[in-house]
Amino acid sequence: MEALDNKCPACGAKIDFNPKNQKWDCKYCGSKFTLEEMQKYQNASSKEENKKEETKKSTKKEETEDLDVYHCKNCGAEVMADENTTATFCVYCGSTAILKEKIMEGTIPTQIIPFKNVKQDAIEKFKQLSKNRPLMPKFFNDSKNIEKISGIYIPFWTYDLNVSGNIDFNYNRITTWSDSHYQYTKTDTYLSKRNSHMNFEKVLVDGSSRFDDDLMDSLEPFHYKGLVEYNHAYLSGFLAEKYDVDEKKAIERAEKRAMNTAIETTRKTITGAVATVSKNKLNIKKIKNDYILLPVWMVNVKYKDKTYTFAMNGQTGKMVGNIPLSMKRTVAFSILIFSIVEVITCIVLYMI
Amino acid sequence: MYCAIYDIRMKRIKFLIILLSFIFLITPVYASTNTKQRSENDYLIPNGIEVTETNKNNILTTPAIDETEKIYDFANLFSDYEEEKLLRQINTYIDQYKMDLAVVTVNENNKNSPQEYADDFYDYNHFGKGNNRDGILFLIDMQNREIYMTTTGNAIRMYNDHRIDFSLKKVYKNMTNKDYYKGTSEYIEIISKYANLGLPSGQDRRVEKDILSTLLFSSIISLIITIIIMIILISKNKLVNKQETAEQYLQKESIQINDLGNTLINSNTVRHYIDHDTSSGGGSSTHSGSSGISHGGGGHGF
Repeated sequence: MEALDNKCPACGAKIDFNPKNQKWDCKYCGSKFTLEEMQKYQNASSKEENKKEETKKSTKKEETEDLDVYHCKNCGAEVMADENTTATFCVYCGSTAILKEKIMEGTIPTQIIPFKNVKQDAIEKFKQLSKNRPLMPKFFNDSKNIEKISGIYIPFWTYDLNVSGNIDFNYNRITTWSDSHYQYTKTDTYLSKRNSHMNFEKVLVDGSSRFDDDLMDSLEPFHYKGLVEYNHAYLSGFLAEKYDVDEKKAIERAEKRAMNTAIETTRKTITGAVATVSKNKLNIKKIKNDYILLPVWMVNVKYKDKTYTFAMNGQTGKMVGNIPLSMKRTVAFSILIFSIVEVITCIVLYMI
Repeated sequence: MYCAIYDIRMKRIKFLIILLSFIFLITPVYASTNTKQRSENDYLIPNGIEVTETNKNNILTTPAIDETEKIYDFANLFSDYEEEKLLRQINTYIDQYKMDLAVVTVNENNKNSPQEYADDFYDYNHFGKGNNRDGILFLIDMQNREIYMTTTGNAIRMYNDHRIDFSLKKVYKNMTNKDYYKGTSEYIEIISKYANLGLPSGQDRRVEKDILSTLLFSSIISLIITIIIMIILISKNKLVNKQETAEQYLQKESIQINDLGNTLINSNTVRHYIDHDTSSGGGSSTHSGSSGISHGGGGHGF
């Protein structure tokens, strides 16, 4: 098995995937190649090869040569990169103490959403964070504060789930009326039985334990229309992470999310009252699961000796992360708003 | 020799001066109210009031006074200085609102009630503006320990029962504390505010509103609004939210929900007694005294 080499079919130099035109651009000779062309020159894995890989999952030997795996001594993270992309630091902890290991275990992703935006887009998005956010510290969004910015394919598990079964709700209907002396309040409690059935397609669960689940959740939605068959040619110029959360463990989160939505959807059929679940006999069945890679720009920011992690959806450009609050601005704004509202309410109260 | 006599004289004069100034200091100076004598030959009453057998006694027992003085402090509740200040307030009121205003204090009420005393005092003296004798009389009756205001002509409509009630309630405590000047002064302020608002039309809350409670109320509202706005602003900086639902992955066309029935499992009825409280602010109730003139009014003990 040949090592994956992302070399320009024309001049043989290093060649990267360009999200702007979804092609492989050679910086040296200016040639542009589509996936088909790359496959023709045996740069990318062909469909047959992918299938072959899938069938030979148990024999990991072939895969081991495909990708370099960097192992961080500091935090234990594992980062994949093709041999032309050199990881010089750990994207999770920033440590430079990383070891290159040519070991790759586990399954090959079935699908991938290639990057649609470039590094500059992530920097621009970061600079725009100040928009409509008066409580952000003044120079926080300065691009000088960006320590590291890296495009990473993050592993996700997707689950097709079926939820079905019986579920009972309780709800109250309250009626009031009055005669000349008394006001009456009648509370009727009902038991409402429902049989519910629904399907979920590709419920996303972050397959990497080193990224916070809520940070990854916040990147949603990814548009699955952009999903293409996995090809490691897409990884050139980017980093990729290997999953470390087992499929059987990750499904718990998918089931929980699907269950919440199933209950909520069924509850909506009871109108005009707040219904509470009294008996839940809904069952979740897994129809199918997939291992996919999704594009994320990780932006590490250092501001006043504190580090902040931002992430941008590499497909939609949605930027997530927690922006710090400026104490000074928060206090000043509170006082300002309070005084304005106080004056207005005083005037209004006086006018009435 | 001469020196000694002079000395003694000087001492006496000095003593007298000190004594006089001491007396002057401890006893406030009260102005006396001039009253004229009514008789069956000259009732000293305004034109248009008929003297009958029934009201003759009422007229004769009512002091005849100079209606320009405005303050008739028979009970000596105000000092000269206080009377001066009150008179200024009263004159401002009269000029501004074209209604007469008089303040009467009595230690002994020789009539049946504060109402009767106030009505007679107003009717049988030359009070009132215009043909309807528009005006107000404020009585502090020390015998009955009651303050009473009587309204005449346009003042009846201006001061409806609710306004009278509120005005008297607002000031009676001063009388209880023997601060008659302050009570009277505040009373004039309140009735001025009402007159300023015009005839009652539901706007009375503006006068009755306590500045302090308004401030407190608006502060609470402002605080709540500020907190809400700040929460919105702060939440703008929080771009990370854990997803607990899978709404976007739900395939809408796959949803099948069957209603397996609703059953009533419990019913509970609670009743509350409704307290019908009387609404305030309505009209003015009137009565007429011995003179036959219509009055509005009300009193409050202290």
